[in-house]
Amino acid sequence: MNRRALINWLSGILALLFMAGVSAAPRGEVVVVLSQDTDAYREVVRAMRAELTRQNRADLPVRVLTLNEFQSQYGQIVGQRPVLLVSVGTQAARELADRRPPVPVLHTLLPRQTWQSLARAPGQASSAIFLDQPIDRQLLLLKHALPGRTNLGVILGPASAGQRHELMAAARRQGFQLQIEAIDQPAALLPALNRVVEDSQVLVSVADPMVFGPSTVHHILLTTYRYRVPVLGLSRAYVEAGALLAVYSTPEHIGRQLGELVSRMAAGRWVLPAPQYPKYYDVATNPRVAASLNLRLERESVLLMKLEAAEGQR
Amino acid sequence: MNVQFSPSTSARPCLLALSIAVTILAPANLQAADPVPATEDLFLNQVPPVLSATRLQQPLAEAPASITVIDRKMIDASGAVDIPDLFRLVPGMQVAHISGNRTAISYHGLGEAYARRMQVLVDGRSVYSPFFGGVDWADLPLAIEDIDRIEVIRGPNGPAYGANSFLAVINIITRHPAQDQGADIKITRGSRGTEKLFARVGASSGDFTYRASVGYREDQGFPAYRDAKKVPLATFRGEQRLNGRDTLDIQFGYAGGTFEDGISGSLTDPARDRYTVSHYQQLRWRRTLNPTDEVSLNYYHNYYRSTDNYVYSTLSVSEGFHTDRHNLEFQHNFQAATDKRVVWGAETRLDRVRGQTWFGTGDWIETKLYRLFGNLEWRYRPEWILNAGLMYEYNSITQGDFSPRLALNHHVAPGHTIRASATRAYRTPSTLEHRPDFALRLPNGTVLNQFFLARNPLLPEQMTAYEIGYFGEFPGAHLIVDAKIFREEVRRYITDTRDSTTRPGDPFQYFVNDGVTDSNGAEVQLRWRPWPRTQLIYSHGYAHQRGTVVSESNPALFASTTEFTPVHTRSLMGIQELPGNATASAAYYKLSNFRFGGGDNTGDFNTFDVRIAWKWRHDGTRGEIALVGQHLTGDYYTYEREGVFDKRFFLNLSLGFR
Repeated sequence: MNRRALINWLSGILALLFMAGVSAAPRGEVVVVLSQDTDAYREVVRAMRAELTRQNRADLPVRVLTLNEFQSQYGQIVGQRPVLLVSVGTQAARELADRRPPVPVLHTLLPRQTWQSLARAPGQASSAIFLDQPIDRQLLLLKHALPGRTNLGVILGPASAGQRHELMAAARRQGFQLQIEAIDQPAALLPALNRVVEDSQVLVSVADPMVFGPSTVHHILLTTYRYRVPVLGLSRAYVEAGALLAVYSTPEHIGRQLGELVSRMAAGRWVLPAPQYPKYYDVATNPRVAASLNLRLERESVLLMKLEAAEGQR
Repeated sequence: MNVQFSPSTSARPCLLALSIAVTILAPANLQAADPVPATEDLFLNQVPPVLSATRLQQPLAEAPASITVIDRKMIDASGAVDIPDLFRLVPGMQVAHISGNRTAISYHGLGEAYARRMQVLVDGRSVYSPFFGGVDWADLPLAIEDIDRIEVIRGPNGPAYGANSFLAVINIITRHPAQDQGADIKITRGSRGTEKLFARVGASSGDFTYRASVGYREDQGFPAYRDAKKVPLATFRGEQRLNGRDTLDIQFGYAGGTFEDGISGSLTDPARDRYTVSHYQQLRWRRTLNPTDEVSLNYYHNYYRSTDNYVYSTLSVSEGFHTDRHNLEFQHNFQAATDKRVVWGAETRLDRVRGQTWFGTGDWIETKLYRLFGNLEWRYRPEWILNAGLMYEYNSITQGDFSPRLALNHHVAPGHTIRASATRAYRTPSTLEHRPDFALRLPNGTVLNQFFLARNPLLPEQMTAYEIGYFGEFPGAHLIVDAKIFREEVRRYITDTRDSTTRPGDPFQYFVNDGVTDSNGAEVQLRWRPWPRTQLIYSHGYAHQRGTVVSESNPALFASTTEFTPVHTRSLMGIQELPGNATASAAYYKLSNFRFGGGDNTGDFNTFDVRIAWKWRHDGTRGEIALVGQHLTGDYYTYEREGVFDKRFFLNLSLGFR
């Protein structure tokens, strides 16, 4: 037992001793830990609660903590043996993963690659709802929105380099050609971008801060636009900034899926589901950019319907 | 957690030179890569608007004017060695080679050696000369390799493009530094002693992205003339992103020129060299307020000096001159309502010209210009767009004038748009037209021979243009059609004339508003991609110019304007991609007779250019070898009958390192 675990354990015991007489700690609690106390994270909880209510599980005790609260009350919380710990966002996920609590953990609102990089203790029950979209879903959207555009470009950075094979396999499966440029430093982005747009008909965004970070998005959007190459973005914000379209999930979508999973787990014996991509999503398009690139795009609602239908068939 | 590449590492403009040196000397590995993992921030955070409404190109179907776009692909495929060659692809446009080192470009004719009736912009910087009103294309500090695209607005449009947007507007947009990261080299050799070198480096450092280009051009001109030229140039363009919404575009450039001039053995126009220096500085600040709104401030300065000293018989003459332009423009674009966009702005300009021989004084002659402009784009139904623009221009030569413009676009069916417009525009006389005093003088100032002298105050030329256009897209056939019929009425045409009674011993030329001319015609341009690897671009301009301009004042003599404008201007360009990364392209041009002022009737002529290029790529290196043949169908001339084009061949090699 390492020192940190020992301290955790001791503080847990202490907390138990103090708390036991004061309040009857409710067992079977779901504890949700927010990375930040901001609207986006709160929205996950709100949507989860709404879903639980819809599923007649409004009585399920749910306790929401900020990361600070969680850190300072860790021993006590774990001592109360919650049925499930839910992390919302990367910071909370890291904290939970590092603590290795003896409780099943469900991580939400984080990119899949980040989940994969989390420390995982053997025997630790953990799963996740990712925030990013499966590549197959993105390719399906492209098929329906921009038929005929089969040459795709992708730029991978250090954080996303591991996705290369998966991307290539998915592209092959769905009949796309993929040109991949990998960069390992920010200065390499512009040259890579200029190479990739030469042969690509669409640039597909990948969640990598070196490629699509706040300091690079203008390069990506302006350079691709100059070559009249549309961008498949990561979110509605990217689309509003100048990407042509995106399939994305909001905190509300994730919260709803979380509510469903929690409700299902509550009906069983709190067995974690398999890690999964967002079940609910939306499609965003930028008609101004489409018009300027002389592209005819269907309305968002139509594209969403088509995408859902296509996913349903698969 | 998201702190990655601190903005403090970015170059500040004042550190420009240093950052260039550092980046060129040690381009890589300055910033060690720390794999920053992705977080939900990438998906949830706000993204500052990048492709704001003002950065988006307006779809041609919604443009309130007829526009010809010459994109990079066409520039390459045309085989053009010099920028003016490109304008032959524009329906209704004429390119006249006055000599090997002077080109005059006009739309619907009405040109002369100093074609002066168009606005010409390079990245929003007006480059027509305050001296004579036209553009010195030979020593314009701009390499053809740095051009991203050229938009030619065929017709007057003062509210949108400013002063001198009279017959047409040439809007040149250079490549953004982000597009040319790495190094490029291009070498061209060919007929008439043509040597062309071009080199460019582009890099970025933090939020500063830049490119620097140098070029050198030399050739022997036409066989019949002393018109060889040597032109070195250097340009720089950098963009500093100050934060998510502010950017600063910094440009400066230089071109020098050594031009042969004169006639061997002539006593009055002796063989000599003319030297020019041209430079500019430009600073443009843009703030994106939100995805639809933007403000910008654009300042630039152009300077031009021509040194031309020779001995006229026994008298030393200095025909040189200086010009100088300072310009400041403010613009605000905003969405006034969901269906209304507004752009408005103000501009102030100081033009200065100096040249003892030309103006009879060694002082700077100033012209001030103030401009207020606004345009409303009102999409009052999804398929109807109304554009209403108004410009008020006040200048110290002709005082104030209002230039209104009204255009209506109607999408009759998806992909089919009909457009109608009416425009009123004015052209302010150039300093040379306004107050010439061009004379041969003794050192004590006594006039020996008066060539030009100002006589009457001039009014601005006036143009009223009407246009009905059609823009159609046929995606199934991969065809885009742009057609229009037009009527242009030019009044108060400024021309030079002579009154032999005023000073019978030494009659001189002077400029006068005495001419009325109307042009009616039709134009069509087609872009057709019959097969995936084949592209055809056809343009045809038909124009019938009818009117008179004075040529001799007393007794009055008038000249017909009909010959000033070719009835037919045709071009056909084909681009064929071949197996093995080769591309073949050909361009055929056919014009009917026209005559630019001071030149000869060209007669009907046609010409044919071809280009065969082969590209290769090896890791980060890409190369291209191209063979260009120009003027292949035989001899023709575009100005004086002596300036005959014969077949010319060029070989060029390009290397790019990314």
